[in-house]
Amino acid sequence: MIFIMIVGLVFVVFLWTLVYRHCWDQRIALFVTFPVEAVFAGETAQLTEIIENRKKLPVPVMEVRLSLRQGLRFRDEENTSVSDNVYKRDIFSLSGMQKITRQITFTCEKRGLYEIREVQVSAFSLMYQEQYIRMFSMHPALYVYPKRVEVDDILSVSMHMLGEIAQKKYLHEDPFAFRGIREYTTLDAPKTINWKASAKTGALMVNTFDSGLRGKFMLYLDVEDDGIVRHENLIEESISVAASLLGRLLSGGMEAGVAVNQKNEENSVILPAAGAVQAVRIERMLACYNGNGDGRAFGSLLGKREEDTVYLFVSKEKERAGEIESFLGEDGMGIWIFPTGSKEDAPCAVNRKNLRLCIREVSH
Amino acid sequence: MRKKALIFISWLHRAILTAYLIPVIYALFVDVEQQTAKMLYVRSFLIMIPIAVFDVFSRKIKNNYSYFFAGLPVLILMALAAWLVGPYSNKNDLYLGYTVFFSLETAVFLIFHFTRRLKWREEFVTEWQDRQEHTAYAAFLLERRAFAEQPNLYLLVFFPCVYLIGQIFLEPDLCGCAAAGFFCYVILLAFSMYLSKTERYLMLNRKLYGVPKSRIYGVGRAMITVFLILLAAGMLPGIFMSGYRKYGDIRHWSDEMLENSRMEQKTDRKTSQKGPDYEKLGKYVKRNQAPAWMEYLFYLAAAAIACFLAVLSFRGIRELFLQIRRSYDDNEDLVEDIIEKEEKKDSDTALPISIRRREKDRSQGIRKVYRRTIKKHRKDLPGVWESPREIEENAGLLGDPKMEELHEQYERARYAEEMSR
Repeated sequence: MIFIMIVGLVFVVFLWTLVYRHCWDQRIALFVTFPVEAVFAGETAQLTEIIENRKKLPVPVMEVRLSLRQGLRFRDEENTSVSDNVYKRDIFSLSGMQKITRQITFTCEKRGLYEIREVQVSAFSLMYQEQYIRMFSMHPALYVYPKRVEVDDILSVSMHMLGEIAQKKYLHEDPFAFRGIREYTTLDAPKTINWKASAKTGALMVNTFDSGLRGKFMLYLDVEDDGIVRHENLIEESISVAASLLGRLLSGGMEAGVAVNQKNEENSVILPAAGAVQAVRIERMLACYNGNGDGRAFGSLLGKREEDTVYLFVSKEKERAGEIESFLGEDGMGIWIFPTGSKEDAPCAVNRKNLRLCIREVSH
Repeated sequence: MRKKALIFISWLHRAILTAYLIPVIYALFVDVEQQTAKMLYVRSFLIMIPIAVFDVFSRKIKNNYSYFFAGLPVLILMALAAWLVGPYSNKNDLYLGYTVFFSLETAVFLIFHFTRRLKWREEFVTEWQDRQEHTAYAAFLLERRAFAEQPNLYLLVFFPCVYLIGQIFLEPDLCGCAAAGFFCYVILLAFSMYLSKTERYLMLNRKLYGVPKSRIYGVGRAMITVFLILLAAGMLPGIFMSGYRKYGDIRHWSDEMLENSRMEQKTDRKTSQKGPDYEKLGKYVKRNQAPAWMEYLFYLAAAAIACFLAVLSFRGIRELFLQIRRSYDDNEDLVEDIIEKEEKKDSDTALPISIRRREKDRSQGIRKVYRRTIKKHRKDLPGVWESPREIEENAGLLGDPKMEELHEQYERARYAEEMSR
């Protein structure tokens, strides 16, 4: 009876499809993570995809799709399609009760905050006629900090500007800012001897402390780029210089802060402070800036000047000279870092004792 | 291996379908008296040889003339083979008919493969000649085309048609062949669909990095095995019910009596072919019938063999799954087995909930009594740093035998968790 065979056949196919459609995504777990929280632009990082099938039913083909904003270049470029975002697709094959971990290496080309909001997991029927889809929501994020650039020349000028204050730095030790232990010398005061450490090592050891008087820097970053011709490379260079400079200053124990004339006024100013947390705050703020050249007036950013602070200005606009000079007045100390395509564009009018100009030539 | 399997399936698919032509023609136009359609079908299956040979020739031989020169001897050889294995040695016209039909089929395949070859070459020249990798790509394309000639879902309609022909032209064997062919073709179709679709999916994703090809095939192979077994199981009732078929002859529908007599005659003819006339032998046959216990014994043996085969199949599938599990991944993925931890059964949870609740209430009661006793003898609140002994000392109860007993109970209820066990 061939017709009974046909009925049996249809029944089995229908049952199989029904069961598989219902069960394929049961007890499936997906974890997409970035093993590190932050990297610098230009460095490589990894994305980890862990997929678990905690049931006996195998899933022969499973596709994992995720999207990220542009700026990451995956080693396996074939698995990515780039349009407004980077769409990544990976294929897995899972047996029952199995876990697969895949590490994907990529290069961080642009600074920014890279977040994955949703991951789409899809499987196919045995004959690839149907596709079953399920969305997993998750929030892994990676901060790509601005690229590190050479700022030694600016740093030496900054230290020179710090002048007298920097000289006094080691005369005013802060007894609560413990730095470390070293061996006793005859120049050390007996009160600084650490007796416990001396007993342990068998030699006289003294405590050392950080300076109570830190150098204070405030950096004003000009990101306004509303001309007909966009200078994205100059803006990026400005951000990189600002981040590198502030990073170096903070690691040197100085207090540093930053203000950006971005359109969104929220989180556009970080007041000077010291420490690793401040460094992270600044790096994240600069990494997340995505104004596309929109900015507010640079003058509105410059508030009240403090006497003990060295001011750093990063701006590619020659017209800022007047605003900067009037802000610094006669007593204020400042450095203007001027990123430009050619040195000829540099403002020549700036020739004051308390305002130094550092020109950074950026190749296109 | 997979590509070879697909090519073999394409040959088998064409052979299964083509082999029905001669039995159907004989069922329609020839009153077959001495041979059954089953034997005709088996003999017609010989067509698979020229199909395979011409397919290989069409892909391997470079020159068109060479193809024909190589193909013609094969055609002659197949005609000779048909003559030799022909089913009607004592009926020259039928014998010749089978040979002629078979030779015609072979010739059709010779020409079909030739035209297909011409078409492919033409497409290849127009589309791919400018490509640097054209040689490799041509081979790839030719293989793809071969895959395209796979069993088709729509062709399943062919079998019920043949079956109907068998039913209405009083050819029980043709019906049997159609049912068996349907069964085999469904299995073949499912397997080839799986292979070709997987191959197609992998081809579409060939540029993708890190596709675990062998794992996809491994896991899929195990699943398709289970699916095919289920398909076969689903179709089995149809095979078992083949005895309930009803036949008729459309050529004699007007005369029902004649149909019945033909059927009887046919059955008589078959029985006379198969062996002695049992009706004539009468009593002798009855006396030599196997006893009932022996029949049961045979049933038991058959059941045992079926169970044995089922166990073997199960173990085979299990081994297949385990093999895939053990096999290494073909990219740098880390593949691990998930071992579900047995839920730790605490002695607490092992107890019934009512007992646990009672014990908990009891410990709470002891702690309540202790607090009241202390409160009665002490004005200030005990500090959190005080131990029970210090609390009692400050309450002036140290050394009191009743308090000693309560202290012991409280310590157990408070810290040892004995009460809740």
